[in-house]
Amino acid sequence: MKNRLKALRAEQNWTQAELAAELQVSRQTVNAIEKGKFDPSLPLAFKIARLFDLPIETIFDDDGK
Amino acid sequence: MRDATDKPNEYEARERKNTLSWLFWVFAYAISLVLSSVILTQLPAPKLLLGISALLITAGFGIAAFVAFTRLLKGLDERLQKIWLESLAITFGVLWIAFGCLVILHRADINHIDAPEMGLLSLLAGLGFTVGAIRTIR
Repeated sequence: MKNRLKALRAEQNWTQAELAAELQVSRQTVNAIEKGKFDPSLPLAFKIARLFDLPIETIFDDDGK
Repeated sequence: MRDATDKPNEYEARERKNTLSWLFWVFAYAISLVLSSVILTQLPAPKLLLGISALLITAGFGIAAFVAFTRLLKGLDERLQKIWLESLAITFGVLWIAFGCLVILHRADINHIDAPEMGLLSLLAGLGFTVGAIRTIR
């Protein structure tokens, strides 16, 4: 699943560690999500959406699956 | 949208604390197991009371280590939980197969299960966990 997390984080000038602290996950998990190596659960995806004040579907794209 | 924050990562602090707690109880369990084995083999019979005491103490440390490990697993973030659980599943599978093979070798009088075989099982467990973790992370 593709996502815009890296771009959104860059817009806020946040580091991965800062975003990880906001989401209460490890920095490595933020990195894995950004690289598309790990798809977050629905609760974590909602947390990310709330943090950036955006709908989930504008952050995550399931490639039309 | 929130501003950038200096919020400390409580998750990482909690993970560190849970890991240290687990390591402490595993260490206590290992020490208790070794000391109990050494003391019980050195002492003359009867060993019933001392044996039961050693068993209760060691089992107590084992339970504490198990509880600490459960807490550690529950406290991990979802990605790490996935990595740990898949690694543990592979470790369990490896140990299951290896133990079955050792039992057959033991029954066939080819090789008897003793300390080196238990050491081999520990080594296989470590290897299985490492392979599982690498496989899941990639």
